[in-house]
Amino acid sequence: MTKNLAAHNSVSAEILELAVKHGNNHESLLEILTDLQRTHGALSEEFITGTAQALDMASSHVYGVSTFYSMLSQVERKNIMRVCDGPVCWMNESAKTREALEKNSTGWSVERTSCLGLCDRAPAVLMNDEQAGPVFPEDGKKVHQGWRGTSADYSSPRSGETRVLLANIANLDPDSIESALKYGAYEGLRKTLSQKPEAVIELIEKSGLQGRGGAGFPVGRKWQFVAGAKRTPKYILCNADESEPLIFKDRVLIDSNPHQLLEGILIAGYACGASEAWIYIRGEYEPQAARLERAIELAQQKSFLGERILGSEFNFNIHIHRGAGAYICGEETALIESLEGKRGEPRIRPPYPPSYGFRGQPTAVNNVETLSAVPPIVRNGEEWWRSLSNYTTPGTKLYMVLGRVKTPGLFEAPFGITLRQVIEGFGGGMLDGSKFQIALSGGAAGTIVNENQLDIPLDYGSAQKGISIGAGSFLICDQSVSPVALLRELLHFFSSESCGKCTPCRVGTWRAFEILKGMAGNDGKTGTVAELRSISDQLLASSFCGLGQSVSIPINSALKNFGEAFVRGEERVRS
Amino acid sequence: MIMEFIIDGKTIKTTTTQTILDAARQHDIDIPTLCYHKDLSPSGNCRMCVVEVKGNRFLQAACVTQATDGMEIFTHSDKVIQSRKQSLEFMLANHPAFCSTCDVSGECEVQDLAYDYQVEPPVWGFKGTRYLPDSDPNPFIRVDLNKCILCRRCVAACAEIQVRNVWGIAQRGFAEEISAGAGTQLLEARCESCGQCVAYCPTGALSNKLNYGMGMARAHQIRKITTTCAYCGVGCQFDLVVRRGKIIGVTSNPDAPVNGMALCVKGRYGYDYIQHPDRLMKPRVRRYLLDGDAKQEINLKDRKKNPKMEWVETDWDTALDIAADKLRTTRDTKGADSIGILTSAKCLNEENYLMNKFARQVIGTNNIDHCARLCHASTVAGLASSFGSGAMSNSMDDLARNSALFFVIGSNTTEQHPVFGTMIRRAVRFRGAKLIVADPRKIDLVEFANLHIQQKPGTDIALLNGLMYLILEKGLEDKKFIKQRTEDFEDFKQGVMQYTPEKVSAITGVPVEHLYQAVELLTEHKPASVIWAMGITQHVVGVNNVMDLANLQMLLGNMGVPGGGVNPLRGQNNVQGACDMGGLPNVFPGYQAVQDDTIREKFATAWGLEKSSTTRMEAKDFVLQRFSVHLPDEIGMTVTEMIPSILKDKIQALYILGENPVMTDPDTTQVKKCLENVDLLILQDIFPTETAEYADILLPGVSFAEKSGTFTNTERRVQMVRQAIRPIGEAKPDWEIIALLAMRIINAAPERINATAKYANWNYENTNQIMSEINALTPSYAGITHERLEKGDRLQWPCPAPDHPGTPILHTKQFTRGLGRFASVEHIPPAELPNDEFPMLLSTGRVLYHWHGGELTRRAKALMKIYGEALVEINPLDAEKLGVNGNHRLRIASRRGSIQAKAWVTDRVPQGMIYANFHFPESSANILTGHFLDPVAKIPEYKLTAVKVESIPE
Repeated sequence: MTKNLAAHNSVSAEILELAVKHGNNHESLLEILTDLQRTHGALSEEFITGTAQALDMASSHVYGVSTFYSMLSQVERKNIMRVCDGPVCWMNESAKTREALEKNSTGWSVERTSCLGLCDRAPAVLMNDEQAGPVFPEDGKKVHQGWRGTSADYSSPRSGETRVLLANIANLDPDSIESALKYGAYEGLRKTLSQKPEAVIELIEKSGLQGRGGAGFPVGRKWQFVAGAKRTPKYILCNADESEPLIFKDRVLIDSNPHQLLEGILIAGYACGASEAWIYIRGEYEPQAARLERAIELAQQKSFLGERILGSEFNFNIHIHRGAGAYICGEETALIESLEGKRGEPRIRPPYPPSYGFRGQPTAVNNVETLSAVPPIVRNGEEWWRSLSNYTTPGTKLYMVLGRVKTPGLFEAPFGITLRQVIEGFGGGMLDGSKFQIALSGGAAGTIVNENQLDIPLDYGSAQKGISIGAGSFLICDQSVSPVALLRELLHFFSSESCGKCTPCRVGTWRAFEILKGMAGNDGKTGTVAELRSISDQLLASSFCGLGQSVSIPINSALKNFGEAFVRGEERVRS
Repeated sequence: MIMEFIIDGKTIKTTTTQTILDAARQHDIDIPTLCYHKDLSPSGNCRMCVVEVKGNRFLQAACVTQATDGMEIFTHSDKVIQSRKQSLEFMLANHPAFCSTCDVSGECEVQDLAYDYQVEPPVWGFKGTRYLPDSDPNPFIRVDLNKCILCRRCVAACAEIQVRNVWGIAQRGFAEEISAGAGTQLLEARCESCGQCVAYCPTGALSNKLNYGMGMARAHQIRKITTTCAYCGVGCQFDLVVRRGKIIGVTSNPDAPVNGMALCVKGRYGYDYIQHPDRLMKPRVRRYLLDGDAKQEINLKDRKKNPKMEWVETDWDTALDIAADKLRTTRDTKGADSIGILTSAKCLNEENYLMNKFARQVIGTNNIDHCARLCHASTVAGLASSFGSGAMSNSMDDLARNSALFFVIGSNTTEQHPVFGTMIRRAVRFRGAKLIVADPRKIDLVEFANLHIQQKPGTDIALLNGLMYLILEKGLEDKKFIKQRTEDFEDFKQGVMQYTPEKVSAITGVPVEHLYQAVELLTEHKPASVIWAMGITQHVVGVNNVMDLANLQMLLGNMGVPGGGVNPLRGQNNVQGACDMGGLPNVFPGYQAVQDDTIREKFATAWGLEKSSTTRMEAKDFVLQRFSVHLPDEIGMTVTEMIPSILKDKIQALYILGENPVMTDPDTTQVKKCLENVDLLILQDIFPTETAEYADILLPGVSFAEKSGTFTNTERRVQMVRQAIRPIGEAKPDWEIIALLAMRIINAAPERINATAKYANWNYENTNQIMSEINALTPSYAGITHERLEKGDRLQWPCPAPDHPGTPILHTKQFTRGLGRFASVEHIPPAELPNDEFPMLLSTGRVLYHWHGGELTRRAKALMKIYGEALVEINPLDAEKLGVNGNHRLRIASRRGSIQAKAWVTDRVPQGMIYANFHFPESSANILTGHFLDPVAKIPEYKLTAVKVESIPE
């Protein structure tokens, strides 16, 4: 019994309309909250309880969701500048940019945010939903007045590139389906529909395509699981959450060739026996989400989506679902939880998504790059795909070379290239005055390596040899970067992005961050290398999910390859 | 399929799919846990239960990992130990280990594990407190998030046991915390203060405010006594915690048969009345009695000021002598039937048995009754008529597990039988059971209902007949069941077929569509159980209402099967027992009829009376035939007849045990007038209640914590009540008092009773002996003994033999009377409908936080803090018309009186209806209610009174 003396518990019309707009069920929650946030700048208690009532959910649940995602807040922030603190932006002194912006912020709040995936425009800033960069301190006033900087231009291949997923992007108009069709869009789909699903899966299996999100799981095998599951309906989820620091390849793929992605999802759907797909895209990629929505509409108009696609019996729909700022939602079960309208906390596994996924149904979760590779493979066959690389892993990969090189950015190349080739070949060599010291390879949860790893061919097995490929990114640091400070920045990221559910990650990442702050000379917190190692062991051994487990990779590799720097850090703190 | 796996070198072969944790525990291999609890879905977040699995580089949480064929598991390898130590160190890092001052030190699971793994709070731990200790102002639950280890058990308990979802997880990462509702205080977030979260919390993060600092967890300094709750008929069990001779609190006992760890706010936090300073410590008598004056000669006009009416504390001998003497002379001069006995639905079975024996053997009257008259008398009469037995046919756990559909009519289950209410919530939320709620109010349970039928009060027969009309029209009745197990169907059918949907809709106000929806649900989901309480029984047509529910269940074939049945929820903790033990004017214990010659003979022989004759004993005959005392063969008076009959000089003396008619009977003004005029009122109770004002002798009895015996809950389950503390002051266990009184009366004229008869005397040493006597004379209780209950036997009557396992479900093969009887019943309008002068309808009842007349709960500190005065529910549109807004006070008047109370403006009540309770004497609804009785059961129509409502200007 509540002694609630208010007469009526009626829900506001605005919330009811938003509920209807977004599907009127529990899964609508995040999008309703995002809309309310955008309109009103904050999620008050009234909005929370009103939304809870409208969706027939507990207020505690809605509150839990509203406090989980970085882009939602209880404190008013109507217009917001989010300044990236990712490794590249950090190296480009984004903290100074932030200070400058704070001075030019009438009507805006300024916040620090995790890697925005705009590493090729560092230092990067998100102005509400608009991507801006590079924004240096002197650009503060301009950006406040609407200037957004320039995007990187990938129309011309670098020498040595093998463009497959990025083929034709110089000429492709990403917002035109006619343009896409001119360059072969949906031919793979046509071919697919004339075969049995089993044949498509066999093709993908033979091609040896491995997941491009970082884990490298064989795609054909995953689809085989889902195809073999008896229960229907089945779903395809495209993981466009791309929040791993240093990674922005999926953004480029969506921006340059959205129909290639849609086609890949369609083929996956057909092969797996699925009827519907969602692209879960990070909330910070609003322009990309909008682009995909436009592409979907055009594809529907041309009958590439919807019912009886290309005159076949195949029905399929693709929806866009935006995240709201949570790196952990890139973990496939956390992604599913978020899609279901909950906090993005990973699930207990097993069961895995192919047997129990979205809505408890068989689900294939694949990365954007993975799915974008599917149409070329279907069009050209597995032999062709294998032929692109003369290393053990077939096909091409999108790589990102960043930091102190002459030509940083994105490129496409086969597997088996080395870090040296990345720096000196594709990256144009170190900047003048910069001597190579450290590379962070794979992403934030990647290996911190020194010159000893420069000549190891990179692929999904190279982690065993001390350098991981991860999602394909390489941050090249020179003598001016302290390995202790770099690791500190990474631990800042992990501790702010930890979902908090399990003890090792929730407390371990926070403590590791404190130790590194102390070692880097920041605030006098004490800690030892031995403790760092112990935390790393614990994270690897007992974390609930891959996020916690993978934090041990940069810590262990840094301690191995730059041990002395950390010992000095420990001594400095002690003295 | 047989699986084989190895844990710590021990090979385990099994066909059951289970987690590593379950497998280990079954084989006595210990794996520590924190966030895991067998009652809750496993979360796997604390990581204490990690184990090493050969071939896997990551440790696996045993609570969520299935043990599969070929697995090799190590529960205490070096890697595992190291990981557990690290996890504990992490937990202690932001958990200031103020163990020395912490309330749960000694009962804290983190402290236990920190000791086992020898982990200290790390030097780098968070310094100071991150949160305000005691951060929530609610009166019951103390919240100290500094001690929270984020195991999430509270969230799970609130979601999965209570299904209230108050607690949630907020924020992310290191900032993560538990929070209530939309980040508000607990009560704002609709917390029901059940305390389940406290019970499941492994640390001191959530603890009890009532006993904070009293050493609840100091195991070596406390005693825990498992007993049965004395509030409602669910019959929860819990542990009373005693330290230094005082009860300092209540804790959950996971082995409790009905409720497990769950309790409600009253059971968990409403115990402090036991040691309240108002407790009667010594007997009291009015001065005039000590002076030897006659009551008639005292001017009672100003009774409060008259020195003759002064209360004088005295010793037991004096009080009992006067009481016994007065009762005996009244019996001998005015006849046995001039005495009325009210026994207590709150007292033990053994005590109720003694009151029945006192009335019949010692006094010689069948004028014994109790408050069942006011609540389920119509149930007992109605079901006895339809089935031959007036009790709840199924059991609560059976319904929770097996009902495909719950039809709850006239029961505000989540507020009145809270723990059973949560069982219904769980069945609906997690098992997909369906729920129809029929209630004029939008009660809390409606939140879970598939259909809410909002019938007008007093139209239940029309509603039920309307449903049965549709069932018959569609041919969906259970023809086989009707043919094989019932009689009088055709007559009944003819009557029902008059109740067309349109006619029913006009009478009840229920849209025709809802009738069809209800019938669809009822016929497609079997077995369906019908559950009811006061909304059905407290009407002038209460008996007919009940028979119509019996009709419905026979029609649908839902009787005698698991998940089905007729399930009246008895209110008091032992109202079932009081009825079972013959606290009724028409039956002996076990519902053996007083009018049955053979039965009377049996009791007469047992109690040392002569074989009875059928002639009525007049007063003069009594004197002449004093050597042949008989058991009376006429049905006695009910309480609703006894009290008014005082004004006709029929009842001249009352002996009342643990009842408070001034608060609970209808038309308080009239009740007071009657009690003022009774010659003698002996009241045996624990507090000087509102009724005590009219008493002549007060005998101090004890609470449930100060005596041992049994209660019988609503599902006929008999459970032990165990003494935890010594009687307060000079109070005595009630059974002792009754026996002392009885012995005095008998010894004044010992020739009346054959002292050699087996059960003639009253020198009981303990309630165990009383139970043996009950066993011998009551077939349905024959096999229920203290010994069996102490051994752990779970017994529901009928239990006719010492090795009989008890009876969870009644009427399985046949009804108690043989065939079930269909009864044709018609809609009859209520006794007092609104008119121009009194245009609104008053319904009455209880609230979650208080109990009945309030004499107990108004003396419970925390309950008074959360609900300290009466609130009257009024619909917002009505409130608007009256100019009432929020904090306004209302004056409510009926033909019999008026009260003032604060308004609670809510849409729980429909327009035209207000709802008041009877917990506070100054605003008691019974000042307004009228003495309109069901002609058969004599139960008052509390659910309908015509009133007028005004706003009182501030």
